[in-house]
Amino acid sequence: MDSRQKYEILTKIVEISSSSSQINERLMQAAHFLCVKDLAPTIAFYLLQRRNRHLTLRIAADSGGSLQLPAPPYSYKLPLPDDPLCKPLNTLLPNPLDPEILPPNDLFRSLRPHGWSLPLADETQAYGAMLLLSPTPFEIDNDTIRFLLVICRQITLALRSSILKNRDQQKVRRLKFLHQIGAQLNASEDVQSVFSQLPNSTLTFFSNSASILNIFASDQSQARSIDQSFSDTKQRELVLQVSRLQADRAKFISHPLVIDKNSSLPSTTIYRQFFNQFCAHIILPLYSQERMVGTLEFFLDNKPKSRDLLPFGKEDLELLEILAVHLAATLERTRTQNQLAIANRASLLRTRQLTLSHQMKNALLAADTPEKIIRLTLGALVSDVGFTCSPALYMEFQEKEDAWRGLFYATAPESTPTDPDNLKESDHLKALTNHLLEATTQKELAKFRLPNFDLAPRRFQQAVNGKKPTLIPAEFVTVLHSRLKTLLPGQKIVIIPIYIQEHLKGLLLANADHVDSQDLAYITLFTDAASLALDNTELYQRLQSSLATLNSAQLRLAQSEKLVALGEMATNMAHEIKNPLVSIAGFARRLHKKIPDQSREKTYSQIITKEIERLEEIVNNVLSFSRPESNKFEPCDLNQLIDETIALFARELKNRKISLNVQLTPKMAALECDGNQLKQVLVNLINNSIQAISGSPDNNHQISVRTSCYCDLKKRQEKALIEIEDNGSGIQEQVLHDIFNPFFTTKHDGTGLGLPICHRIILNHQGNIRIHNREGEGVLVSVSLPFKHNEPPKPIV
Amino acid sequence: MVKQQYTILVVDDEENIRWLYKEELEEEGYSIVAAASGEEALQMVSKSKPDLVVMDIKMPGISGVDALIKIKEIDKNIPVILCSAYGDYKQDFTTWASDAYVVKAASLDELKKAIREVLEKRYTGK
Repeated sequence: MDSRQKYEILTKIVEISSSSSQINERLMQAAHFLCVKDLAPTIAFYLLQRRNRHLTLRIAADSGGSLQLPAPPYSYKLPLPDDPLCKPLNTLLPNPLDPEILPPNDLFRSLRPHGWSLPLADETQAYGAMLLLSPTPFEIDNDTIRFLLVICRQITLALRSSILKNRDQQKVRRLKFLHQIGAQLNASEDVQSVFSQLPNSTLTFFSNSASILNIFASDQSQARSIDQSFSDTKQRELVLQVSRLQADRAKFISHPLVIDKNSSLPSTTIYRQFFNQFCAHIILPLYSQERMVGTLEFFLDNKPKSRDLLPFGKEDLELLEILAVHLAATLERTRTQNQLAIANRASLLRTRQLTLSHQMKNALLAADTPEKIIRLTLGALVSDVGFTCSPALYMEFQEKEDAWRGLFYATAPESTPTDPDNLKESDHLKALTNHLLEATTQKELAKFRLPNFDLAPRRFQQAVNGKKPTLIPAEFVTVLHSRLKTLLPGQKIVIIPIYIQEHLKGLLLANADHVDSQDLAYITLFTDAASLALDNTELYQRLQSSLATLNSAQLRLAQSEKLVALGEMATNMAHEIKNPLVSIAGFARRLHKKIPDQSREKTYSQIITKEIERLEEIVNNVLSFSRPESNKFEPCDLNQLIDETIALFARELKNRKISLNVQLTPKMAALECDGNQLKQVLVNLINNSIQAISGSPDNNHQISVRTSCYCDLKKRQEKALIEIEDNGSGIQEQVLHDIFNPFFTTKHDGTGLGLPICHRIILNHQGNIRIHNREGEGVLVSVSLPFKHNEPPKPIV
Repeated sequence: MVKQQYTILVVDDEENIRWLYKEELEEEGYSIVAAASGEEALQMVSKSKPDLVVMDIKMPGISGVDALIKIKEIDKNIPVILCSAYGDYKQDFTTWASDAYVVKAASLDELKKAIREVLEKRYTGK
């Protein structure tokens, strides 16, 4: 080979090796070129790989086709240093291959080629070997050897730059990966999702390895494991067994644990099987704030498809460690976030419950009738924002019927306007309040009756007598009545007995499919408040009625005290007036007798006598007012009494052209009364009416007298009603409150005692007298009297 | 048969009343003596026993009620008619010490009737 040829070859090799194509491509071109130039029948490049533990046939170019090398890549475990093929890697000198000499790790045991092994190495590192191979003995001179060493040097340069470039690229990839994974983890609320994306990351290492993420149990969550990237279930089972084998040890590691074929591994069948498929098992502890939160395990395939990340390298392990730190931090963060979210949700719920309970308490306090309280309670029970126990039914025991009667029935509204969770606080309360108002009685419920619970299932009875809300299966309730199944659908029913002062007042039955024990405690609190409120309203109502009684008693007392004082005064006055009156009257009569008839004096004395009689009547009225009544109560015919009274006025009414309209209800029961006193009342009232009419200018004068019966529900008494109505001028509004006061009068010749006497007589009869005044249009006086007196009447003084 | 003339003692603090009763009752054929107070009446009763006493209640000095008791102590057989403007004493006294109770009125018919009845009951034994 001359120097020109050598120059050409070298120029070409330099050109090839410094080209920008892939290193394999360049090696291939170089090999072919050298073959073509007939340097050897077969040229092969063996390169060190897998962290210099293997020598791999990367490229083989063959001109004659006589040597059948296995198809690249074909790796060998790195042979011993004195292997003829490997020797140049240490000596940096060419080494002849002799098919006669069998080294321990002979690479070409079957081929037995002749040839040379030339080192691809520089002063710092060996990269592989270039082999010149031939089936026949192969001679080569020293010049050519030296020339070939130069070529090898050139190829070494290309290899070195390629590896350096590769490393840079890997570094960039790693940085990119770390950046990407960091960003993902930071943005993520869930470590598992990031973990599941690892196989898609820029580092193909993750797609070549199966992995398991173990998250250790914290206080509230259970330990979890997530695994991925297994080719089949059998492989997965094997890996999980290996993982379990190391689980105890993994809990206490502080640094990455790498188990490979070279480590002192436990000689179990499982591991033997494992290393048939995998080359390493890496366990990384996940530490966060000096606490171990989990482990990350990788299982590396025996035949990685990519070389960009090879195990056991310090840099790769560092990368995995950084990943582990990231994951651990994220795990801890999400865990804290979860806890915070849970706490937040709990506090939100509590706030809502508190608000509800506060609002309910206020509403219950404001409710003044038991009905309102029951409706509020039902509303809160069925409402979506309350206890969601819809529908609910309220029953009360009716002693008369010896049965339970349904009183109220409520269901939640069909659809809530918005999601209750999204409602603002105020809207939320408004929705509840509105709904409470909607909780209404069902009309058909009026017919709903349950017999008493003597025959009810024992569990039901226990729940009713238990005094606390109780959850029982629906069938124990629905068995009581066929309609209950439609009224209260569902699996569970909560029974809430409403007790008032140890006495069972009512029963709330509500669907309880969504109720748990915690809700039940809350319902208990709430219904206790309702019971208390019910108790309060009953007390309040009792108080109110006794207050009313007290008030009226006080009024009556004041009235009677006034009357007693007046009576005393009147008696005294009567006595003082009557004595001179008697004298005057007596002597006037005597005078009258002595005066001759048909004289003027006779007329005068007549007038005197008459007037004195009138005066005496007035005094007698006063005296009768002060005198205790001697009541003679006996059954009377009221209509007859009225007829007799009206008869007294017949002439006067005719004279005054007043029409009398009498409407008497026939066949009334006998009225227990003092007939004379009652007549006195009627005379007085009709007299008043006549006088009122006479004062009014209208000509169409009319007086109506009516009788009727009615039932006073409050006192449970049958009562007679007498109404006397006129179309006179009515009573002036400003004097209306005085008309029952003694000595008050609007008439120029009145004593002011007519109505007070009437009033007293009616009160003595346990009756009532009412004036319905229409000023300028007339007066309606209504007198109501019980047919029978409740107790023996006592005279009022 | 000659009608026996009864003597009636009229007791009243009002002079006009005494005079009126005297004139009216004398017309009826009674003999009338009068006293202006309870004390005077008691003196007269013990001096000359009247057949009947007509007495007011409200008087200065001892009241008619007290005088009535004292008269009955002197002679329980002397009938006494109380005659007062008070209507509300009626039930107490008719059933108790007096023989009749008459409410004072412009017309003396009731009083005259009561006097007749009491006298008849007391002296003719009817």
